[in-house]
Amino acid sequence: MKAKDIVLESGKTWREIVRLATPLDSDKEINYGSNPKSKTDFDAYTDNKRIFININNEAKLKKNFEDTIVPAYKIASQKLYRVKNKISDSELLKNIIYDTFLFVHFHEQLHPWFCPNSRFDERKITKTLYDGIKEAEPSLSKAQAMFKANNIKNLCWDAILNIAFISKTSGYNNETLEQKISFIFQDNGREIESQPVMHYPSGILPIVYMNSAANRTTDVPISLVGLLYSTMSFNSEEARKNAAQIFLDDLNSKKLSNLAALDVLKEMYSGFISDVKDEHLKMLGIDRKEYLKKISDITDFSNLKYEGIQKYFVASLTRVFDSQLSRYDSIKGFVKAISKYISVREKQGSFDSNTSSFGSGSGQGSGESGEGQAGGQGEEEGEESEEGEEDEGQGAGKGKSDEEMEGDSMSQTMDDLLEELPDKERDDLLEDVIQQGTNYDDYDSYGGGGKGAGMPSKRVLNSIASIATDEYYKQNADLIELKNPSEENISFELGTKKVWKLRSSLNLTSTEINKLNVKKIMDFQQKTGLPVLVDIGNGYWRFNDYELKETPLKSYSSQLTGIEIPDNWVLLQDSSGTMTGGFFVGTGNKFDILNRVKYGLMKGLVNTAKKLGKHPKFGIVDFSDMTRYSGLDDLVSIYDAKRHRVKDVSLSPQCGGTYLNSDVFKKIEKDLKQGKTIYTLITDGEVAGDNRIYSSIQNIASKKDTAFVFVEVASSSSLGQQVKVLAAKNPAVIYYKVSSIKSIKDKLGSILVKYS
Amino acid sequence: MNEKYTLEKILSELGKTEQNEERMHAAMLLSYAGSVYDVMRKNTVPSPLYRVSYDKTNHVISLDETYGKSLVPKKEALDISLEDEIFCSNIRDMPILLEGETGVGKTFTAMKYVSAILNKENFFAYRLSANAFMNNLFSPFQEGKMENGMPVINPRIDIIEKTAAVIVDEINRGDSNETLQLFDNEMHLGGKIYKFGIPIPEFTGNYGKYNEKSGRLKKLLIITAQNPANTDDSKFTQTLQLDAAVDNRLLKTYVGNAAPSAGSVLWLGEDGKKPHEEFMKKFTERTVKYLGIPEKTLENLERDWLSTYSWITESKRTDKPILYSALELSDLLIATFSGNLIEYFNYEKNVISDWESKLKKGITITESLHETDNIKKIHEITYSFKVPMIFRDIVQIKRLADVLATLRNVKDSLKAKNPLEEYLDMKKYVSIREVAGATALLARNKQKSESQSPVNAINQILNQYVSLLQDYMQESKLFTTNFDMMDPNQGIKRTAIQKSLRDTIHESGGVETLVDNLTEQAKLLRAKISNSEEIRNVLIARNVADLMTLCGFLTDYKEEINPMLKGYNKKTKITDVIDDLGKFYYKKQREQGMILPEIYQHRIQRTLGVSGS
Repeated sequence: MKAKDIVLESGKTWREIVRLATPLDSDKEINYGSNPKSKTDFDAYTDNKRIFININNEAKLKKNFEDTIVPAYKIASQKLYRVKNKISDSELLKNIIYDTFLFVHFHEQLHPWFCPNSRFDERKITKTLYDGIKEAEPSLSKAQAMFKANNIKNLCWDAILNIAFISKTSGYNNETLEQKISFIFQDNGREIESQPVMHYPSGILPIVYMNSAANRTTDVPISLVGLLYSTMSFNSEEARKNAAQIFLDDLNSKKLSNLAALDVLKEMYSGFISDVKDEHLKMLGIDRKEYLKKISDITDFSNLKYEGIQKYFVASLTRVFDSQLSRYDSIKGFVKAISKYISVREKQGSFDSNTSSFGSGSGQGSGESGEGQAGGQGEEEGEESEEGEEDEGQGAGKGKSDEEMEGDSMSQTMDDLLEELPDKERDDLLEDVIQQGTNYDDYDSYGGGGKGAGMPSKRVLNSIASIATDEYYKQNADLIELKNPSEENISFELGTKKVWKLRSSLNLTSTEINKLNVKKIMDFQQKTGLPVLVDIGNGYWRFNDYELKETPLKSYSSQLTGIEIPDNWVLLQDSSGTMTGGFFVGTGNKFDILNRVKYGLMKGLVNTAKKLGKHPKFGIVDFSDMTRYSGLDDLVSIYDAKRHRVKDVSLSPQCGGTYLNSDVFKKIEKDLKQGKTIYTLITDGEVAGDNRIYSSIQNIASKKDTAFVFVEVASSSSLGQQVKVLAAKNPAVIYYKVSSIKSIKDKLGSILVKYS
Repeated sequence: MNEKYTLEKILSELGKTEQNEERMHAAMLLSYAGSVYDVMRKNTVPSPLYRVSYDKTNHVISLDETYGKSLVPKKEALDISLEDEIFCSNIRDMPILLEGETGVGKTFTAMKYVSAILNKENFFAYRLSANAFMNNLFSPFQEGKMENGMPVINPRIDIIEKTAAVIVDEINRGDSNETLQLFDNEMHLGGKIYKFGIPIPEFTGNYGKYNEKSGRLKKLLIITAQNPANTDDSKFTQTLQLDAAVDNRLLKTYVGNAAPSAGSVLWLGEDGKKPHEEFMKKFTERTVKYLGIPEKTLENLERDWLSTYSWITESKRTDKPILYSALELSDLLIATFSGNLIEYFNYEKNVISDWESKLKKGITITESLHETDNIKKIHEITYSFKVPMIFRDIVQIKRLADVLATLRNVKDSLKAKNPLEEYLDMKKYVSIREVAGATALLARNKQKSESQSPVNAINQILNQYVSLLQDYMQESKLFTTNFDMMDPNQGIKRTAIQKSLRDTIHESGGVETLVDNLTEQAKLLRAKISNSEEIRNVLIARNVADLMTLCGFLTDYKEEINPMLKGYNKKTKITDVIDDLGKFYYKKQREQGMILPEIYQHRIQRTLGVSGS
């Protein structure tokens, strides 16, 4: 049987179980596909609405199971499956793949149930990880702590989910999933070597992690967590030892001795409750002393009472994670135990970018990773996409590069922290992230290189620094209020109203009247004053029948008026060395102030535009050594977006000379929408460039509904003088000379709106 | 009339006891059901509507909407056809609205049913005119006269008294006020209210006396029909509110086209002449057979038919007691589909917190419910309702649950070798199975077209209820861990109350001990608040709030309740103690209706699971 067919079979069984165990997900869609370009043998992920499973390399998938799992499990296969007779290797292989993918389906399905199960949960976990990492490694900068929190969060979510899965499939906390699985297995007559399989087998969870560890494609944390799963998953001493050995070997290869690794394992166990309050442990029926005492037995894989010990831990930890009172404290203790092994540079064990967005989830896969991929789990993240968005032959691939997805994930992590942190800490974090981004080149050898050191890739760091800068100014720039629009009543056609019109008249005898609904006729006559029954004498009556006809109906509504904002606003900013020397955020230098003014004006204009229902276009020309322009776009969209091409130009000063290429005006002209346009140029020096700058300004100012505002900050250039003269002749040109950027904000605010 | 009535004669033949009256009723109900289907089947084919199944092992329902297509028989599944719905509407007094395209057999089937069970002078069938002045809904019950040159309308009392059923086609053309009156079984005319229905007889004086008019009326069997509304936008027309009010009173059924499924069998039916005569013949044969009485006993059946009909089909006779677990589940289902789950959870949290301030028992819920994916899914169902879950729906769920239970009982009995004994031996309760099925039917009725089926959400709620109940029962060690849906004593609060009462009585304790014991049980439940099981959290919060409200009630009246508790001993049945507490509550409700806190009036009755009757 082909591996893909086994996966499809496991999917069918999964759905049958879900219908009984978690009926709300009965109709959850699964997209099976293949992504031949992927470096992993399979990958799986969820957008919380659908599950995506790609079998990318069937041969490699099968080989991983044949080379690693079957040899490790065959000695204990009867025990794992709770059957009497021996199981052949081929039968074991087939069944192990089947049960592994049953787990994979559940893992993806249960993410939104267990972790993170809401935006609140996701934010809180991110903050907890950040706090834990800072506490464990006080020497880390805030940005580094955030990078580590981002890189470990998926692994942490998975740990919470996976431990709950072991509990649920074993019924350790009176859960019913185990019963439902058993019911479906029996109902379907599942057999292995003609023997009924009545229960979900033991030891399935660590398999995907074992394959990665065996291939040496993991990081330290994933192997540590794999080791943790090994101590929780097996009913067989031999299989437990074999699984643990695979992880220990991998950790050895990463310079962590068996002894050290087992010590970390114990620290992870104790970390799970170290920060949980006594009263909360008590409420969950956990005795701290008993718990800590049992930890010493966890590394004694031959202990005859091992199953009891693992049941105790799995049941206890599932309860700890499942209570809001202890969940986050437990995560904090756990991350403190492994913090020093978490890489600042890349995701741990799973390539799982963009996971921070609730509505996305995590995924997993086993196999080797190529260069640039973190670990061998090959995890990927699905972001919500429109149906049919996937490329043909790409399975459920999303078309985003790994780096882009990692950038998205990091951005979500930062967002979560910004929402959770107090104002001061929030600004400190933003400044730190921006500083790290600005000084990227200095960090190449940070920490001596290697694992646990370095920084995220330059592209990711630049991206996150840019988002942080934008966020900083959004938070810190004072709103520059534009005049509020006034309200005026405007007449409009509401629709139609119905009025009664005579349709027909009949002459009736008295006996025919008996058939009529006389009460209704009376009511109608009373309400409308229209005659329905009229005595016309000699025992005859006139019966008038009416119908409703539509006529137009006028109404009034209040509309905002008295203010006009431009349809296009183009800001030409000088980012030369005299404006800023490099890092500028929060420094108070000219470029910092310029950005405060820029964001203050943007806020004001966005508010007014929203009130008026208008969509002005906005763009930036950043000039220094180069003239950079990335087009115009809707101002509100630019402002609301975390990243935008206009912001990329806006927030990355060049710190060179003061040169403006006048060709840019032609480009701008093509992008303008019809209507009123304002150009604003701000500089603190002599704008050099071709000799067409002045003529370009002249040309612009001569156009209908167009104004050009030229601002010189504490300087007086020859171009400025030319413009000043022009301004005296042409009211469409405005010239300001100010001593500081701060003082121009009110002037610009009044220019951006034109009072009627 | 000197000769005895048919019902009197039959009971005399059987022996005048309560059991025999029950036996007589069961036999006649089964005969009634069996005979009407026999007669209808001669020239009508079934029009399948739903298949409701319940998996007793895993506690999940399935609701298949069959749209006229017949399905292969399935064990334990309850197949509901159009005829079944009309039958249920008849014996449960629920007006029915049949919606469907022209020609699918809505009025045809209704006519066949009514003309089998009734003589033609006992029912009317008419179609409302498109002209508002000509569509008098009550025209059969009124007569117009010219008095002093003015038209005057008078009621036809003779007609009102003998009319047992009406079939109204194109009901949506009717005036909303009049339609509401009809569905409420009355007609307002000239400042007076005329009640419709047939007097129901009763046996009094320890079954020695037969009273032909008990004072109760068997409601009109009202079968209405209409073509489907073009759009749901009609809801937003000026008659919206009234339409919605009418809508809520009805058992609404979409009738699919059975022709593709039935095929040419439609040509093979017999011509059913004189259907009522045939029905009476079959009814007599069956009743005689089931009860083992001489045929002569029913010789005046035709003469006595209207009163016999009203006695057989009186809805009270097929009312089913609702089991405690079913009550708890319906409470949770109603709460879940009534609005925003998060707000609801917070409300219960606040109730618990307020009790904590008052009672100081160390029980609060600090956890929050967040907008998870699962909550969004539940809200999607709630927001798909055209009108929100309201008080009437709570009644409607019980009525629909009674319908499902009755239909299942009748069908299962008729399948048996000895239908009467089978019926009499059956447990006739409304269990979680019927409540889940009824909620699914009701929710489907309330939804906008093209909405997602509510069944998955109902199953999720059912699943969480049963798993919490089993988990808690295991922890309390009061019951076996296996949930038995027909056990009247199983239920979350029921378990907590029984255990607390038992322990209190064993300790010879008073109200304070009982309150402490109840709080302990509430704490056990409270500890089960889970970050991953949102619905379960709502259920827990609700139950803890209910238990703490009971604690508040007991504390407020401890002077009176203490002596009651002291009067019990280890031999006292706990169910009797609960009944006594229930009686005490109702006494207070009657004595202090105005000042008894609303929270007691909302919660104590269902927490104790006692009925006021």
